[in-house]
Amino acid sequence: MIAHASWHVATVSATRPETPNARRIILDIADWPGNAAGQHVDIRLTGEDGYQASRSYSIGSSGDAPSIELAVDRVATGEVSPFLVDDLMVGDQLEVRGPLGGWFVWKPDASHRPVQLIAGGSGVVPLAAIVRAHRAAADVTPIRLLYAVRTPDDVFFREELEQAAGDTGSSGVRVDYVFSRRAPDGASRPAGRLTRELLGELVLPPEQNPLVYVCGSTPFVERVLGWLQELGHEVDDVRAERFGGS
Amino acid sequence: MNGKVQFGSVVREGGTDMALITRGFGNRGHGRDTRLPPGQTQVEDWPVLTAGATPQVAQDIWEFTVTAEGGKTTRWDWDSFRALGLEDFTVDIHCVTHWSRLGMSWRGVPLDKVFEHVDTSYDYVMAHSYGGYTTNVPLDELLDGKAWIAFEADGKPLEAEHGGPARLVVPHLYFWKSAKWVNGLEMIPRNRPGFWEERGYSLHGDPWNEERYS
Amino acid sequence: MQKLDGNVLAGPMSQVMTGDATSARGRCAHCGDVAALAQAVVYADGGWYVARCRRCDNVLLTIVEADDDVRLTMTGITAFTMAV
Repeated sequence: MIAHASWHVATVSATRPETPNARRIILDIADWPGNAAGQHVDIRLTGEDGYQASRSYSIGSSGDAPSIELAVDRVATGEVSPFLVDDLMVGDQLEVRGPLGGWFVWKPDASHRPVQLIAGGSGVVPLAAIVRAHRAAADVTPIRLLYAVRTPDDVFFREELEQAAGDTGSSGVRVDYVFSRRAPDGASRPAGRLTRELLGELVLPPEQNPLVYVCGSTPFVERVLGWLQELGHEVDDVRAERFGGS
Repeated sequence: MNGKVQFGSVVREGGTDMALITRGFGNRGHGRDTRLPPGQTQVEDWPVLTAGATPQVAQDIWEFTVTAEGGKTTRWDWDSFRALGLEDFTVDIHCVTHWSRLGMSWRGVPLDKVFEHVDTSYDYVMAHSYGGYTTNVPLDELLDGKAWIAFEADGKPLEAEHGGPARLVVPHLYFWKSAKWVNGLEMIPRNRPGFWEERGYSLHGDPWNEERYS
Repeated sequence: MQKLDGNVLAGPMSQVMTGDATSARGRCAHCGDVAALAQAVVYADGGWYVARCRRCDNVLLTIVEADDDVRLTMTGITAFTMAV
C-alpha cells in the first residue's frame, strides 16, 4: 500500500549543482513514511508577505530513509524554480505534501517484466529513481533507459546512471543517450532529435511485452506516445507523466 | 513532475493553519499599490489560464448572438458587430488566482452599444463561449460603462490563448467572469451558476470583498 | 498553456480521499472510455484543476483548492474504482 499523503516540514540538508542550470536538493523530513520510485511531492513556499506558491516535483530517490532527493531545473520565467536553484540554502525549511502518486510507480516484483524508461530532459528524475531502486534491490528485471537530452552538460544523475550502466550481469541497466544539440566527442551517433525510427531502434520491442514509462514535457510525451503506438506498443502498457512546458 | 504546475494563494492572517514561512521567498519587488484588492499581487505580464483546449475560431465564421425571452434573437457577424463601435479602454484586471494587472489597455465594443439592440425584461445574463464555457453576470454589471466585448489587448489582436478573437471583459469582477472566446449572451430571469460557479466559485465574484468561493 | 495529466491530481485528491486517486479507474460518463485517473488530460492553475476525458474531452472532474476547504465536482466519471 502507498502511504497516505500529508504535509510535512522539510529541512534542506544539502544542495549541489546538478548541471549549470539545475540543482540537486536533499530534504530531511523527520516523519517521512518513505516513498516508492516514481512518486512525487507538492512543495509549498510561503513568503513573509503571506504569498504562497506550490509546485509538484518528482522525487529522484526512493526507500524508507527520512530524506528525499530532488533535482530542480531553473525555468527562467518561473516563480519557484529560480528560488530553489539560486536562493535556497542549507537549513531552510519548506513544506512538502507526499508521497504522491501510485500509478507512475515501479517496484521490483517476481514477474521481472521488462521495463523501458523514456526520459525527455528533466523528465529523467522519476526514471532515475526507478533505475536506482532497481540497482538497490539488485533486481534482475531487464531494464533500459532512453534519455533524450540537449547536451552532455544537461545530464541529471550522471554518476548514478553510470554506476547502474556499469553493473555487469542481469542487474545492469542499459542507458542510451540521445543528444539533440551536441553529442560528446567520439559518440557513436551524431547529435540530433529523437525520431520514431531511432526510438524504434533503441527501445525494447513490443514482443518483449515491456512496461514502458515516459516522462518529460507535454509535447515530448505526446510525440513519444504516438510513436510507441505506431511501433506496436499497447496503450495500456505505457505509463506517462507530463510536466507541461513546451 | 518538474515544477511546471503553478498555483498561488495567500495565507490568511489569523487563519486556523498558519503555514511555515520559507526564508527569502516571495520578495516580489512591488510596494503595495492601493489599486490592489485584498489578497492580490501585482504582475507585469499576463499569465495564461485555461480550463480546456483553446478553441480556434476564424473571423469568417465568428458570430455573436444575444438571446432573450420569447425566443428573441439578435445576431451579428464579425464586421457588423465591430461596426457597433470600438473604443479603447484601460482597466485593472484581477484574477482569482491572486494576480492583478494594473492599467492594462484594451479595445472593444461596450456592452451598452450591444444592448441598444436588445429588448429584454430579464435582469441576468449567462455568457457563452466557443468550447462550452459559461459564466453568469447580472445585467446591470455589464452596462453603464462596466463591460466590453474586447478584440485587442496591449495594442494587438487578442490571441487565442488569451480568449481571442473576442472575449468579454468585466474588470470590476474577478477575471474568470470575463469569458474567453465569447460567442453570445443569454438573458435569464434568475441568476444561476455558470461553469466555475457550479464548481465552487462565487456567483458574484467581487474582488474588493474577496468573493472568490461560494 | 499548462496541459498536464492526472498524475498531478494526486496531491489535491489526497485531501478528499485516502488511497491513491491517480491509479483509480473510472468510466467517462459521456463516451464510456475506461482509464486510470492518471491518464486524464488535466489543465491546472491557481489551485483549480480540470480533468478531461483523454478520448472525448468531456469534463471528468474539477477540483478547487479554496482557502479552507477543497471543492470536488465529479459529475463526468462513473464507476470510480479504487483498489482496497
